[in-house]
Amino acid sequence: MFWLWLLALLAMRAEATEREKRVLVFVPEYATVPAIADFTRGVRRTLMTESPGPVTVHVEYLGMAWFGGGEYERALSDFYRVKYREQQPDALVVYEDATPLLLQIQRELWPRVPMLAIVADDFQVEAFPQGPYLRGNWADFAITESVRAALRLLPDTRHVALVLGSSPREKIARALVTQEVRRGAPDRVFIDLAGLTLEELRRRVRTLPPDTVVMMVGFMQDATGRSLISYDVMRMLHADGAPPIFSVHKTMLGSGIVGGVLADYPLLGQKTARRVLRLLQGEPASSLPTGSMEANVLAFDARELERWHIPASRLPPEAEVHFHEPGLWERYRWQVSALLGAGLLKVGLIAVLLLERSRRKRAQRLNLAVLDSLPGSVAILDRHGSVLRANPARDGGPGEGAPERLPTSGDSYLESLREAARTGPPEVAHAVALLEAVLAERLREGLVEFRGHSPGTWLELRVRHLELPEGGAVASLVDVTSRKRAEQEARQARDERAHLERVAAVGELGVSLAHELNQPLAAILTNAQTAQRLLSGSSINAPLLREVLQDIVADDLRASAVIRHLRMLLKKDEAGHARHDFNALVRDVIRLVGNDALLRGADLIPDLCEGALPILGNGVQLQQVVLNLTVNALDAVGPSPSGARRVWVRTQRHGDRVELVVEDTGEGMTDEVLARLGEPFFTTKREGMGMGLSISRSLLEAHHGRLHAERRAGGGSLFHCTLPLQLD
Amino acid sequence: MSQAEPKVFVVDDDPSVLRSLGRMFEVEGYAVECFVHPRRMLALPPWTGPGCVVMDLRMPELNGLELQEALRRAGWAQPIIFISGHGDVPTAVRAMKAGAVDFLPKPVTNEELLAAVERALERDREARDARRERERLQALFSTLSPREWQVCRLMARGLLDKQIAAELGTAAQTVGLQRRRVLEKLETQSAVELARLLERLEALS
Repeated sequence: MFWLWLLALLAMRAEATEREKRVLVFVPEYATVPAIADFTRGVRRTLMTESPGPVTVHVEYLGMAWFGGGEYERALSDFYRVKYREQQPDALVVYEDATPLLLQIQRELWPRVPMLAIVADDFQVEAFPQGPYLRGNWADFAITESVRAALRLLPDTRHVALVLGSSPREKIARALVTQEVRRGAPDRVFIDLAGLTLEELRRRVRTLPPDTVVMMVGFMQDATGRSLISYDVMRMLHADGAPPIFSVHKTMLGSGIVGGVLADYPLLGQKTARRVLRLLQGEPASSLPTGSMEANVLAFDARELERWHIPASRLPPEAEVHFHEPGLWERYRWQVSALLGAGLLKVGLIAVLLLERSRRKRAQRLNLAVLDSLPGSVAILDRHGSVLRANPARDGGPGEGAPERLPTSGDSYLESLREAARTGPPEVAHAVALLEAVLAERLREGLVEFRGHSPGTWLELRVRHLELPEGGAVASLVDVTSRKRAEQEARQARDERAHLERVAAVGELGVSLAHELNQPLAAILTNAQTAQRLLSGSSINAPLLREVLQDIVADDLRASAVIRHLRMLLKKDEAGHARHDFNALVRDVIRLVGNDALLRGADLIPDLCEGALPILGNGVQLQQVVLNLTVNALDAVGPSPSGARRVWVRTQRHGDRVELVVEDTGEGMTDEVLARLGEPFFTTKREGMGMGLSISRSLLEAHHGRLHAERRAGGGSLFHCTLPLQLD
Repeated sequence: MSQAEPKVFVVDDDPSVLRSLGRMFEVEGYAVECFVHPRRMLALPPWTGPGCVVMDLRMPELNGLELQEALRRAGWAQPIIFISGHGDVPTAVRAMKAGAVDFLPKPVTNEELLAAVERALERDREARDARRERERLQALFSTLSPREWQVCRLMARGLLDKQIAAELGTAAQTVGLQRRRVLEKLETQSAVELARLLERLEALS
């Protein structure tokens, strides 16, 4: 990679003296927008006058304020390809909102042509893949500096008031702006006029103490939601007789503000051009300075300075003072008036357009701020899976296990994910499939969890379709290891509890289970000794001996079946889910409890439906539910008179669900018991732990099942649970 | 059915245990009768011949103790051997008090069970002998008239005819006559022998 770049660089150097240099400037709007016009003029004029060799400047007005969409952007890309086929550019400049599109076009058409991007904020720059062919800079507003300038001019100021509107963007920016104002005036009383209604604002401004300066940052919407233009608001405040107002927009100058550190677009153009000159001389983009373009100027309105009795001596030497021609006014009153009128009109128009622009810029800035604030790694992708924007890397984002580095603009997210799928855990393939499906618009939204590269880590990829005509998607990758771990721990805890409860339940069956096991053992012993006895005789009764041995085998099998069932219930199972016949599971439980029922003098009546009931789940846990409900029912009929102790265990198929009903003829539940049923540790039994039903319920829930209890018509209770049927 | 040959009755609700026990006793040469349900046994007229009953203590519906009681009421006199899955001491005590000869924990070896059955049959034999003697004695004494009974009791206390006559307010000659009749009826030679016989009857009753 490095040597390729070096070769390209050498080739460029060799050509340097031979031909005219071409610079392409891409701006988001048309030249009718004064700021755009000022900026491009600044670039062109500086290049023309300061370039050592011949240079042409082409400006491409993208019209992005009015036109857009993927098709338009692709057409532009094709158009530039054709247009500049014979005239390869030597340097590219891109301004503000045109940047994302140009990052793409540069990658496609001019991957080796250095590009300088000027964006509104530093955080936008951070998302760039800065390198030998790309340098990002920003041109920002100097709120703190403007406040400091105001205080220098009006040192007796004791209050600083911030005017800021209530539009969503202003609301989000409020904390930051407040902080910047306060930083400029740490020892003055801060008056917060942000977030008021227009009427409140005007009233508050009228009653501000005389030793106040107002920092007018913007007022796009008042607290009632009314849309406004900051420029109009500022004029109202000025007309209301507000204290001195300062701002950060040079376009405001001449319409009521005293001045401040103001954004200066021709200057920005000039500074941009000087960096482009360095690129033309063969410097890699990476050697250009980073950071702010510092295109703000200290500028003031002479009339306002005079109005507030600010002596010229307080102005710093670098300050520009405009509208300072009182003599002219006296002498050429009408001409000046007309000129001024036209000038004011022009300034007004510029201001309106700039405000419109700044409104959009704010929107974008706020969107980006939201993007940046998101946890994990968030990327906006085009429909080919390439990154249009991504939030910067942060701590707490996907750590190890994520694709080796975070995506930046221009990378193919889809490709790096595919790469990760080739080398990484198998589930990453699901993530690839998801992204592909969303990009192909087969799916609107989806979520895939997959294991990270380092053991034990889990990532979650959420992909959502972008509701734009050109398609695309938002992909967010979050480290969910801790959530996963918590889930796992919760599951383990539940299984642990379930196991304890199972052991307890089996313990309650203990005596009858011992009997159940003892019976075949007793029979085996008797039979074995009988066989010995038969063999010790003089003549052997072979048929009888065979019968005895057959019985031994049968009893042995019977004993081992009991042990197997017991072990199944008692073991801490980590077997997980498998296919089972629910009827078979229930049958096993009935066999286990059958003897217990007999001893309690209760009739346990199985009523299982015909055929198999295929379900997917943990067999032991489901048997535990059946066991629990059945033993509960047997307990419930205990106090009933002998002959009236009946428990039915029924299964049936109900649509796409399996239904289990355990019915008893016991006393039934009171309202209170019915209401509190399933609460952990709630029990009506003297020796119960009170965990049975709550565990049964949570085990069922883990199987997408449900459990509810009701009173049985004719006395007793009815427990009813359902599970999804698993068909092929 | 010969009354002389002892018979073992086995009651167990578990068919395979019942079969193994029945077969074992048969192989050992006993006459056996098996019941998988206690009610079946109770439906039969009580067995009057020698024998014993082997039963499981834990059975559904009617447990061993309840069956024991029911058999007694129905007139079964044979000793009972309980086999139980677990050593339930209070139950064992109650069973023994109610006349069980043995209480064997399951699983039980054939030797233990056969020994217990032999003990039971021996006891049954003794009981039957005692019963037979009591019946003989009772038959003997039942021939005495009430007056002769009075004379007999006084004779057994070693009183002379004169003393007996004074006691009963009759003449000594009459007593002498009654004394001879009593000795004759009881097939005894002396008052000493008569006293021993009476003592024996009282012990057996």
